[in-house]
Amino acid sequence: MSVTVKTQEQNFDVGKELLNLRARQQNQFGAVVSFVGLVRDSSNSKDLIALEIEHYPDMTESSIVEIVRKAENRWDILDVLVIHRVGRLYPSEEIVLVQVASPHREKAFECCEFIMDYLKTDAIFWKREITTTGSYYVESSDSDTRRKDRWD
Amino acid sequence: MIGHLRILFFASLRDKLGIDEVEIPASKLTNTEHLFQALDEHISDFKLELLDTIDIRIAVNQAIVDGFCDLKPGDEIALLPPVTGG
Repeated sequence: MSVTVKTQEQNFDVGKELLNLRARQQNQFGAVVSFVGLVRDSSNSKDLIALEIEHYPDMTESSIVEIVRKAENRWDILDVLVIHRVGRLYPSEEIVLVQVASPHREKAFECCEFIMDYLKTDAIFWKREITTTGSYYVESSDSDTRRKDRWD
Repeated sequence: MIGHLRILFFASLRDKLGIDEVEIPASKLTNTEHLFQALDEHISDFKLELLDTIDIRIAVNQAIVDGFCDLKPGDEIALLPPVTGG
C-alpha cells in the first residue's frame, strides 16, 4: 500500500499522476478512480472572486494521512494519492485530486468517495471566500457531516 | 524561546482576535485546562468571550487533544476553528 499526500500552491496534472502511479505499482491494479474538485464560481448566491485556502503546514498532511489510513482499514486498496492545493485559487481552478487504485472498481469508487467526504470535515484546512460583497470563512455543512457519518 | 509555550491562532479565530501567535512562559501554564484563562491574563484586551462563540479544537505539537493535556516548555499549541477541505 502506497500513500502519497501533498499540499501545494501549484496545480497538478492528472495524466502525469496516473503515469506516476503506473511506475509505482507496475500495473498490478484493475481500477483507478481520480476525483478532481474545482472552485465553483458562486457560493451562497454571492459572486466569488477567489477562494483562499489556509493550512497548518506541520499538521495538515498528517491529518490527511490519518484519513487515508481509515480508508485502508476498510478497503483492499493498493495506492492512494491526495494532492490538496493551498493559497489563492480562482473559479474553475483545481483544488483537490484524490486518486485511488485497487484491484476492482467498486473499492476504488467507494474509497475515493470516503476520502473526499472525510477531507470536507476532518482535514486541517480553512477556506475563505472572497466575494464582491466581502470575505467569509466557509464551514463544513450539515450535509458534509451527514455524508461523512454514513460511513460509520 | 526556551522555557516558553508557543500558541498559534488560525483562520477566523486569528482574524477575530487580531493575533496570529503568542508565547507564554511555560511556568504560567502547565495544562491545557487553563489555556484560555492564561491567554486572557497574558494578552491585554484579549477577547476571551469570543472563544465561547467558536467551536475550537486544540492541538498540542500538531496532534488534536481530546480533553486536557499536560504541557511542557517548547510545546506548540494550536487553536483550530472549524475546518473544511476538499
